Amino acid sequence: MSERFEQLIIGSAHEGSEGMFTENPQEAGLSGDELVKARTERGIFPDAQQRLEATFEKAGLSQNLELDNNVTYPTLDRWVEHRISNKRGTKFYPTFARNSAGELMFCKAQLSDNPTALHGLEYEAKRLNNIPAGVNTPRFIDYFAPTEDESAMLIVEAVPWSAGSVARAEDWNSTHAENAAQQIKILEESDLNTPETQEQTDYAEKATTLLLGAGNTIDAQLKEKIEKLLQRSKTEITPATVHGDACLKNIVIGKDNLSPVMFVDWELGERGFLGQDAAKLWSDLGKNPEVANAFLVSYLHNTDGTINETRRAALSFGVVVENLVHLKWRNEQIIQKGRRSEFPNLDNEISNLNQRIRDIFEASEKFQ
Amino acid sequence: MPIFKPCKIIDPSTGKERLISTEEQEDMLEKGIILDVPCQPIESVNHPEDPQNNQNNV
Repeated sequence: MSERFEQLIIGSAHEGSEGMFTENPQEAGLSGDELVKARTERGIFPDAQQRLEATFEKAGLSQNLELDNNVTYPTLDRWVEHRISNKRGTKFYPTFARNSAGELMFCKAQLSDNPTALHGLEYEAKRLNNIPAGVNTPRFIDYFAPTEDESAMLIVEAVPWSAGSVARAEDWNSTHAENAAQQIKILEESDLNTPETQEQTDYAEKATTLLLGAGNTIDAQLKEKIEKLLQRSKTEITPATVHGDACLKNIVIGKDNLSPVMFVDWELGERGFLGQDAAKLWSDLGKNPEVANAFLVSYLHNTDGTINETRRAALSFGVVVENLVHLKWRNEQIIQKGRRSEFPNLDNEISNLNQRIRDIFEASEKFQ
Repeated sequence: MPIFKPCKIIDPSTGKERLISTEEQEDMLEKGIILDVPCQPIESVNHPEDPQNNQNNV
């Protein structure tokens, strides 16, 4: 079973409210020695700060920690300590810097030799440097590969909060949703001509494995419907260019409600499949049914007003796969290991995950 | 010591004052969104129990 595939499907959801993969999110309050030990265990470069400074020098940038609005951003060491204390990831160090012209830029700096983290920075750079027209992202500035003494660093334009920010589903409107759907379609239809998008992956087969792994957590009637979808998906679910983590946390909406939405944080922008981004965003918009429906209408319709049957199947497939990952985890890591008593909300969660799958079938089938 | 402090800002989209939580500031930093409007740290604000706390924290 491809665990990497499952990680790519759920994206940042593992840090969400369900607490599936983060069993102890409490602040640890580490001592100095414990912090050093934790840094070592995570493979954080002992000289990460020096490497960062060397990369900034090569890039001709000056780090910008103190802003004139009373906000101080954390230094690298302080950021790492904070993330470790909160049991959160340390894939990269986010910070701001200015070039010689005084322009403000956002930098993601490598912190360790963790191949997944470095891979994410490389992919993000590759994607942002080759994004199709019509898809709104922060402007790519530069990428520096790691050397013996320097960190890898991705540099993009900083997004001013006064122009836009991430928002809850309740703060989205139909214009945002329609715009996001259009951008996802452009992205899916684009050919970035990178090796990973040319590789053929049998997504239906991967989904069938997930369905088996979910065992009895999936409702029998629903299972039949999913099996029919997977049968059809063998030909319709093709590899596609994706953002890879198109959740609300990664989409900036403009303060004026008219600007196109902006997709940020492309580190999971590897190869994906048709419907993957749309499924994630539709699920995230669920708390705002009117806006979720506007998204669906825009995503499923062709320019001539007809329904795109391939996209309809793909969207359902995406939602099914995402929820199957969660169900499989619950089946294999909780039920099969006899840990039910540790998870008092398990039955409710399983019921909700089943319901999400029913919801997408119902929502997408209403368009004829 | 926390790396961020809750602070009050005038939200450009509504023109109203609201509180930005530390979590929201951390989320913004990770996404490359820079808080470019005047902020008033919460210690110096008279009424920290703002009902709009976490309004935009996703």
